Amino acid sequence: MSVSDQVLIDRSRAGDERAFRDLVERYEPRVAATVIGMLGPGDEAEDVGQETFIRLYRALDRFRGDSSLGTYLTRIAINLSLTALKKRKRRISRFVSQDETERDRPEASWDPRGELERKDDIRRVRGAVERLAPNHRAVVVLRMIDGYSTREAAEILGVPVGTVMSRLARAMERLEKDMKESDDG
Amino acid sequence: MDDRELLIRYSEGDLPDEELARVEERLNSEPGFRSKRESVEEIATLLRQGAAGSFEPFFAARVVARLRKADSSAAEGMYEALRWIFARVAVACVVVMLAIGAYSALEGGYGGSVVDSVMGLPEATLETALALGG
Repeated sequence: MSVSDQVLIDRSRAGDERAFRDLVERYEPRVAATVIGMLGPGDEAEDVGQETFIRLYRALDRFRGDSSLGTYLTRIAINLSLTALKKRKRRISRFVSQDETERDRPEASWDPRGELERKDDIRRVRGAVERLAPNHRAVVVLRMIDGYSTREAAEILGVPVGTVMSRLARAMERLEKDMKESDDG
Repeated sequence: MDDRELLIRYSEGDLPDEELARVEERLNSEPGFRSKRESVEEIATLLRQGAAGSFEPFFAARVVARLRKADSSAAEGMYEALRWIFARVAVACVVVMLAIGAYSALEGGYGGSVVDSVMGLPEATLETALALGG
Protein backbone atom coordinates (compact mmCIF):
# COMPACT_ATOMS: atom_id res chain seq x y z
CA MET A 1 0.00 0.00 0.00
CA SER A 2 1.41 3.38 -0.93
CA VAL A 3 2.01 5.92 1.79
CA SER A 4 -0.03 9.13 1.48
CA ASP A 5 1.56 12.44 0.49
CA GLN A 6 0.77 13.87 3.91
CA VAL A 7 2.66 11.08 5.69
CA LEU A 8 5.65 11.56 3.41
CA ILE A 9 5.52 15.32 3.97
CA ASP A 10 5.39 14.87 7.75
CA ARG A 11 8.33 12.46 7.65
CA SER A 12 10.29 14.77 5.39
CA ARG A 13 9.66 17.65 7.79
CA ALA A 14 11.08 15.47 10.54
CA GLY A 15 14.24 15.04 8.48
CA ASP A 16 13.53 11.65 6.92
CA GLU A 17 15.54 11.85 3.70
CA ARG A 18 14.08 8.60 2.36
CA ALA A 19 10.55 10.02 2.63
CA PHE A 20 11.51 13.12 0.68
CA ARG A 21 13.15 10.98 -1.95
CA ASP A 22 9.91 9.03 -2.28
CA LEU A 23 8.03 12.30 -2.80
CA VAL A 24 10.47 13.29 -5.53
CA GLU A 25 10.08 9.94 -7.25
CA ARG A 26 6.29 10.17 -6.99
CA TYR A 27 6.06 13.62 -8.56
CA GLU A 28 8.99 13.45 -10.97
CA PRO A 29 6.76 12.52 -13.97
CA ARG A 30 4.47 15.48 -13.42
CA VAL A 31 7.26 17.97 -12.89
CA ALA A 32 9.20 16.54 -15.85
CA ALA A 33 6.17 16.89 -18.13
CA THR A 34 5.74 20.51 -17.10
CA VAL A 35 9.37 21.58 -17.14
CA ILE A 36 10.44 19.69 -20.26
CA GLY A 37 7.22 20.84 -21.95
CA MET A 38 8.19 24.43 -21.15
CA LEU A 39 11.94 24.31 -21.75
CA GLY A 40 12.55 21.25 -23.89
CA PRO A 41 14.86 18.45 -22.75
CA GLY A 42 18.37 19.28 -21.51
CA ASP A 43 20.45 20.59 -18.63
CA GLU A 44 18.29 23.67 -18.11
CA ALA A 45 15.17 21.54 -17.62
CA GLU A 46 17.05 19.20 -15.27
CA ASP A 47 18.23 22.16 -13.22
CA VAL A 48 14.75 23.69 -13.02
CA GLY A 49 13.31 20.28 -12.12
CA GLN A 50 15.78 19.89 -9.24
CA GLU A 51 15.18 23.45 -8.09
CA THR A 52 11.41 22.79 -8.05
CA PHE A 53 11.85 20.01 -5.49
CA ILE A 54 14.41 21.97 -3.49
CA ARG A 55 11.92 24.85 -3.22
CA LEU A 56 9.34 22.33 -2.04
CA TYR A 57 11.75 21.00 0.59
CA ARG A 58 12.49 24.51 1.86
CA ALA A 59 8.75 25.27 2.03
CA LEU A 60 7.65 22.02 3.68
CA ASP A 61 7.05 23.73 7.02
CA ARG A 62 4.81 26.28 5.34
CA PHE A 63 2.94 23.83 3.09
CA ARG A 64 -0.58 23.58 4.52
CA GLY A 65 -2.17 21.44 1.84
CA ASP A 66 -4.56 24.16 0.62
CA SER A 67 -3.87 22.88 -2.87
CA SER A 68 -2.78 19.38 -3.78
CA LEU A 69 0.95 18.73 -3.71
CA GLY A 70 0.91 18.13 -7.46
CA THR A 71 -0.68 21.51 -8.17
CA TYR A 72 1.70 23.18 -5.72
CA LEU A 73 4.70 21.64 -7.49
CA THR A 74 3.31 22.51 -10.91
CA ARG A 75 2.98 26.14 -9.82
CA ILE A 76 6.62 26.22 -8.70
CA ALA A 77 7.74 24.43 -11.87
CA ILE A 78 5.84 26.79 -14.17
CA ASN A 79 7.13 29.91 -12.40
CA LEU A 80 10.73 28.67 -12.45
CA SER A 81 10.38 27.70 -16.12
CA LEU A 82 9.04 31.13 -17.03
CA THR A 83 11.98 32.72 -15.19
CA ALA A 84 14.39 30.41 -17.05
CA LEU A 85 12.80 31.40 -20.35
CA LYS A 86 13.25 35.08 -19.51
CA LYS A 87 16.93 34.44 -18.75
CA ARG A 88 17.27 32.44 -21.95
CA LYS A 89 15.69 35.26 -23.92
CA ARG A 90 18.20 37.70 -22.46
CA ARG A 91 21.05 35.35 -23.34
CA ILE A 92 20.08 34.67 -26.90
CA SER A 93 19.89 37.59 -29.23
CA ARG A 94 16.93 37.18 -31.48
CA PHE A 95 17.20 37.87 -35.16
CA VAL A 96 13.49 37.60 -35.85
CA SER A 97 11.27 40.00 -33.96
CA GLN A 98 8.23 38.72 -32.10
CA ASP A 99 6.01 40.95 -34.26
CA GLU A 100 7.32 39.27 -37.36
CA THR A 101 6.79 35.77 -36.04
CA GLU A 102 3.33 36.66 -34.79
CA ARG A 103 2.14 38.36 -37.95
CA ASP A 104 -0.96 36.99 -39.53
CA ARG A 105 -0.57 34.23 -42.01
CA PRO A 106 -3.28 32.72 -44.20
CA GLU A 107 -5.68 30.38 -42.42
CA ALA A 108 -4.53 26.82 -42.91
CA SER A 109 -5.80 23.44 -41.95
CA TRP A 110 -3.25 20.87 -40.88
CA ASP A 111 -3.57 17.40 -42.25
CA PRO A 112 -2.53 14.81 -39.66
CA ARG A 113 -0.57 11.91 -41.13
CA GLY A 114 -0.34 8.20 -40.50
CA GLU A 115 1.25 6.26 -37.67
CA LEU A 116 4.57 5.84 -39.49
CA GLU A 117 5.23 9.54 -39.25
CA ARG A 118 3.92 9.87 -35.72
CA LYS A 119 7.31 10.35 -34.12
CA ASP A 120 8.18 13.03 -36.58
CA ASP A 121 4.86 14.76 -35.89
CA ILE A 122 5.59 14.67 -32.15
CA ARG A 123 9.02 16.15 -32.73
CA ARG A 124 7.54 18.87 -34.90
CA VAL A 125 4.78 19.73 -32.46
CA ARG A 126 7.39 19.97 -29.67
CA GLY A 127 9.41 22.31 -31.84
CA ALA A 128 6.30 24.37 -32.51
CA VAL A 129 5.59 24.61 -28.77
CA GLU A 130 9.12 25.90 -28.21
CA ARG A 131 8.44 28.70 -30.67
CA LEU A 132 5.39 29.89 -28.74
CA ALA A 133 5.60 32.94 -26.50
CA PRO A 134 6.28 31.85 -22.88
CA ASN A 135 2.82 32.73 -21.53
CA HIS A 136 1.15 30.87 -24.42
CA ARG A 137 3.49 27.94 -23.90
CA ALA A 138 2.55 27.80 -20.23
CA VAL A 139 -1.16 27.42 -20.94
CA VAL A 140 -0.51 24.75 -23.58
CA VAL A 141 1.66 22.77 -21.16
CA LEU A 142 -0.77 23.06 -18.27
CA ARG A 143 -3.93 22.45 -20.25
CA MET A 144 -2.80 20.03 -22.97
CA ILE A 145 0.14 18.16 -21.42
CA ASP A 146 -0.47 18.25 -17.68
CA GLY A 147 -4.22 17.84 -18.16
CA TYR A 148 -5.36 20.68 -15.91
CA SER A 149 -8.71 22.28 -16.67
CA THR A 150 -8.76 25.86 -17.88
CA ARG A 151 -9.92 26.96 -14.42
CA GLU A 152 -7.07 25.12 -12.68
CA ALA A 153 -4.54 26.49 -15.17
CA ALA A 154 -5.84 29.99 -14.44
CA GLU A 155 -5.35 29.43 -10.70
CA ILE A 156 -1.82 28.12 -11.18
CA LEU A 157 -0.86 31.06 -13.41
CA GLY A 158 -2.77 33.61 -11.35
CA VAL A 159 -4.67 34.99 -14.36
CA PRO A 160 -8.39 35.10 -15.24
CA VAL A 161 -9.98 32.05 -16.88
CA GLY A 162 -10.80 34.13 -19.98
CA THR A 163 -7.12 34.98 -20.39
CA VAL A 164 -6.13 31.33 -20.28
CA MET A 165 -8.86 30.50 -22.77
CA SER A 166 -7.86 33.17 -25.27
CA ARG A 167 -4.12 32.40 -24.91
CA LEU A 168 -4.87 28.74 -25.44
CA ALA A 169 -6.99 29.42 -28.53
CA ARG A 170 -4.26 31.61 -30.03
CA ALA A 171 -1.56 29.09 -29.12
CA MET A 172 -3.49 26.26 -30.74
CA GLU A 173 -3.99 28.33 -33.86
CA ARG A 174 -0.26 29.05 -33.96
CA LEU A 175 0.61 25.36 -33.46
CA GLU A 176 -1.78 24.34 -36.18
CA LYS A 177 -0.25 26.81 -38.62
CA ASP A 178 3.28 25.71 -37.71
CA MET A 179 2.38 22.08 -38.28
CA LYS A 180 0.77 22.94 -41.60
CA GLU A 181 3.78 24.95 -42.68
CA SER A 182 6.25 22.22 -41.81
CA ASP A 183 3.97 19.81 -43.71
CA ASP A 184 4.20 22.05 -46.75
CA GLY A 185 7.89 22.78 -46.34
CA MET B 1 -15.86 33.90 -29.33
CA ASP B 2 -13.12 32.41 -31.50
CA ASP B 3 -13.91 28.97 -32.98
CA ARG B 4 -10.97 27.33 -31.21
CA GLU B 5 -11.96 28.84 -27.92
CA LEU B 6 -15.45 27.50 -28.49
CA LEU B 7 -14.06 24.06 -29.27
CA ILE B 8 -11.83 24.09 -26.19
CA ARG B 9 -14.80 24.99 -24.01
CA TYR B 10 -16.81 22.31 -25.80
CA SER B 11 -14.15 19.68 -25.04
CA GLU B 12 -14.15 20.74 -21.39
CA GLY B 13 -17.93 20.47 -21.15
CA ASP B 14 -17.97 24.13 -20.23
CA LEU B 15 -20.71 25.31 -22.60
CA PRO B 16 -24.28 26.11 -21.61
CA ASP B 17 -26.90 23.83 -23.21
CA GLU B 18 -27.93 26.29 -25.89
CA GLU B 19 -24.37 26.92 -27.03
CA LEU B 20 -23.55 23.23 -26.81
CA ALA B 21 -26.41 22.44 -29.18
CA ARG B 22 -25.18 25.11 -31.60
CA VAL B 23 -21.64 23.69 -31.59
CA GLU B 24 -22.93 20.18 -32.22
CA GLU B 25 -25.08 21.44 -35.04
CA ARG B 26 -22.08 23.18 -36.61
CA LEU B 27 -19.93 20.07 -36.18
CA ASN B 28 -22.54 18.11 -38.13
CA SER B 29 -23.06 20.65 -40.85
CA GLU B 30 -19.74 22.50 -41.32
CA PRO B 31 -16.80 20.42 -42.57
CA GLY B 32 -14.39 23.33 -41.91
CA PHE B 33 -15.49 23.56 -38.29
CA ARG B 34 -15.23 19.79 -37.93
CA SER B 35 -11.72 19.74 -39.37
CA LYS B 36 -10.72 22.52 -36.99
CA ARG B 37 -11.87 20.35 -34.11
CA GLU B 38 -9.95 17.37 -35.49
CA SER B 39 -6.80 19.48 -35.78
CA VAL B 40 -7.15 20.72 -32.19
CA GLU B 41 -7.65 17.19 -30.94
CA GLU B 42 -4.79 15.82 -33.02
CA ILE B 43 -2.38 18.41 -31.69
CA ALA B 44 -3.58 17.73 -28.15
CA THR B 45 -2.96 14.01 -28.68
CA LEU B 46 0.55 14.63 -30.08
CA LEU B 47 1.36 16.89 -27.15
CA ARG B 48 0.24 14.25 -24.66
CA GLN B 49 2.11 11.48 -26.48
CA GLY B 50 5.26 13.57 -26.67
CA ALA B 51 5.14 14.60 -23.02
CA ALA B 52 8.25 13.70 -21.06
CA GLY B 53 7.58 11.21 -18.29
CA SER B 54 10.82 11.67 -16.40
CA PHE B 55 14.19 13.34 -16.26
CA GLU B 56 17.41 11.41 -16.76
CA PRO B 57 17.70 8.29 -14.53
CA PHE B 58 18.46 8.77 -10.80
CA PHE B 59 16.87 12.20 -10.73
CA ALA B 60 15.68 11.81 -7.11
CA ALA B 61 19.20 10.89 -5.99
CA ARG B 62 20.56 14.03 -7.68
CA VAL B 63 17.95 16.20 -5.95
CA VAL B 64 18.84 14.75 -2.54
CA ALA B 65 22.57 15.16 -3.25
CA ARG B 66 22.00 18.81 -4.21
CA LEU B 67 20.05 19.36 -0.99
CA ARG B 68 22.86 17.84 1.08
CA LYS B 69 25.39 20.00 -0.72
CA ALA B 70 23.27 23.11 -0.12
CA ASP B 71 22.94 22.21 3.58
CA SER B 72 26.68 21.63 4.00
CA SER B 73 27.41 24.89 2.17
CA ALA B 74 25.04 26.65 4.56
CA ALA B 75 26.83 25.12 7.59
CA GLU B 76 30.18 26.04 6.08
CA GLY B 77 28.91 29.56 5.52
CA MET B 78 27.87 29.82 9.16
CA TYR B 79 31.32 28.61 10.30
CA GLU B 80 33.02 31.15 8.06
CA ALA B 81 30.77 33.92 9.37
CA LEU B 82 31.63 33.03 13.00
CA ARG B 83 35.35 32.91 12.17
CA TRP B 84 35.08 36.35 10.58
CA ILE B 85 33.34 37.79 13.66
CA PHE B 86 35.74 36.20 16.15
CA ALA B 87 38.82 37.41 14.24
CA ARG B 88 37.57 40.97 14.38
CA VAL B 89 36.54 40.73 18.05
CA ALA B 90 40.02 39.36 18.89
CA VAL B 91 41.74 42.25 17.08
CA ALA B 92 39.48 44.75 18.85
CA CYS B 93 40.35 43.19 22.24
CA VAL B 94 44.08 43.42 21.52
CA VAL B 95 43.71 47.07 20.52
CA VAL B 96 41.75 47.87 23.70
CA MET B 97 44.32 46.04 25.85
CA LEU B 98 47.18 47.93 24.15
CA ALA B 99 45.38 51.21 24.68
CA ILE B 100 44.81 50.48 28.37
CA GLY B 101 48.44 49.35 28.70
CA ALA B 102 49.74 52.49 27.02
CA TYR B 103 47.55 54.67 29.19
CA SER B 104 48.69 52.89 32.36
CA ALA B 105 52.34 53.08 31.31
CA LEU B 106 52.07 56.80 30.58
CA GLU B 107 50.28 57.44 33.83
CA GLY B 108 53.12 55.61 35.59
CA GLY B 109 50.89 53.58 37.92
CA TYR B 110 52.49 53.10 41.28
CA GLY B 111 55.95 52.43 39.88
CA GLY B 112 57.66 49.07 40.01
CA SER B 113 58.36 46.87 36.99
CA VAL B 114 57.39 47.68 33.37
CA VAL B 115 54.74 44.93 33.47
CA ASP B 116 53.24 46.39 36.63
CA SER B 117 53.18 49.82 35.01
CA VAL B 118 51.53 48.53 31.81
CA MET B 119 48.96 46.57 33.79
CA GLY B 120 48.40 49.54 36.07
CA LEU B 121 49.33 47.49 39.11
CA PRO B 122 50.72 49.12 42.21
CA GLU B 123 54.13 48.10 43.48
CA ALA B 124 53.64 45.30 46.02
CA THR B 125 55.10 46.86 49.18
CA LEU B 126 53.79 47.08 52.68
CA GLU B 127 53.25 50.83 52.29
CA THR B 128 51.19 50.53 49.10
CA ALA B 129 49.18 47.72 50.65
CA LEU B 130 48.41 49.89 53.65
CA ALA B 131 47.64 52.84 51.38
CA LEU B 132 45.27 50.79 49.22
CA GLY B 133 43.63 49.32 52.30
CA GLY B 134 42.74 52.84 53.38
